[in-house]
Amino acid sequence: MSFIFATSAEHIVEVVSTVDPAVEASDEAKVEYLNTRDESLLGDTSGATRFKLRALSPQAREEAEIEAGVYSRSELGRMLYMEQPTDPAERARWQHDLPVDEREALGDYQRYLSRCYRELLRAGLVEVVGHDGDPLELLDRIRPDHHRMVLTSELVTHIQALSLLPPAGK
Amino acid sequence: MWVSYAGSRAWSCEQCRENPSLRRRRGSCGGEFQGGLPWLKRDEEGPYVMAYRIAPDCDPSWGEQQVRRCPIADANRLAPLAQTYQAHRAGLGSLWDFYRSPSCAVVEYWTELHHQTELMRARARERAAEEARHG
Repeated sequence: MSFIFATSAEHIVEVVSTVDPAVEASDEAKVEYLNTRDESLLGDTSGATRFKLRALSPQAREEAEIEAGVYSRSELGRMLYMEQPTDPAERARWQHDLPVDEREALGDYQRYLSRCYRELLRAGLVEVVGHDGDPLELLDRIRPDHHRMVLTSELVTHIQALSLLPPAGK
Repeated sequence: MWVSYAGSRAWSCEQCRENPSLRRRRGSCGGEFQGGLPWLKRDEEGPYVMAYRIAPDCDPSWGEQQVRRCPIADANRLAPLAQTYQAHRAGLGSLWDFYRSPSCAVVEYWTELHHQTELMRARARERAAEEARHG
């Protein structure tokens, strides 16, 4: 195990996205990059868009969670989210069989998670290198939509890896 | 922390310095464990050593873990954070004096270190009481 978290909330790193067309690497290398932030795994990334991220302080993380609605999120939805099957087909059937109130609670919690991702990005995404303007607004313009969603998820993964102690580190 | 608690019975960098082949078998400071390492086991994720073999007499919550990389190498990387905590415990300053803008990870690390240090002290007290009871 190697540690990739930052010790200071002022520490800034640059990352690239694995959905960037300029990044050509195997699926295994891309997954490994998300775990290690080791850019050498991706080969030549000179043409890729770069994102500057910073680690979050405890205050910044708490503020992001409060802004996303951590105190009003559905706890039932959270419980169901934790219990849901990992297999996509099994999960779809499980969700289909839920009573209406539980399905709404689950949807409410998933909306909370989306808001949380956005607030974490607002706190942790410093700059899209070479592009002026609000980084979040720049992200919103990315198309196709699937790329924007994967990029958002990857950036949040990097921010969390930068900010939090990995379970194995404990 | 558990490694230092176990004293000379635990893994240490000195052992590897004295025995280069041992260093290689222990993964050369962070790599995968190699064949021939005492107490080495394997599963589908690869080779591992039970943590209690690395630091005998550690807390069971740590001892039951499967260790896949030399924990001393990781501990060395985190040494400045541990030293800061020790200095704080010794009354040399607050953690804030050493880290003005800590990340969540650092705060988590100190919290975990403090919790485990308290566990270690409780174990030492328990052992001392046990020894006193049995002469």
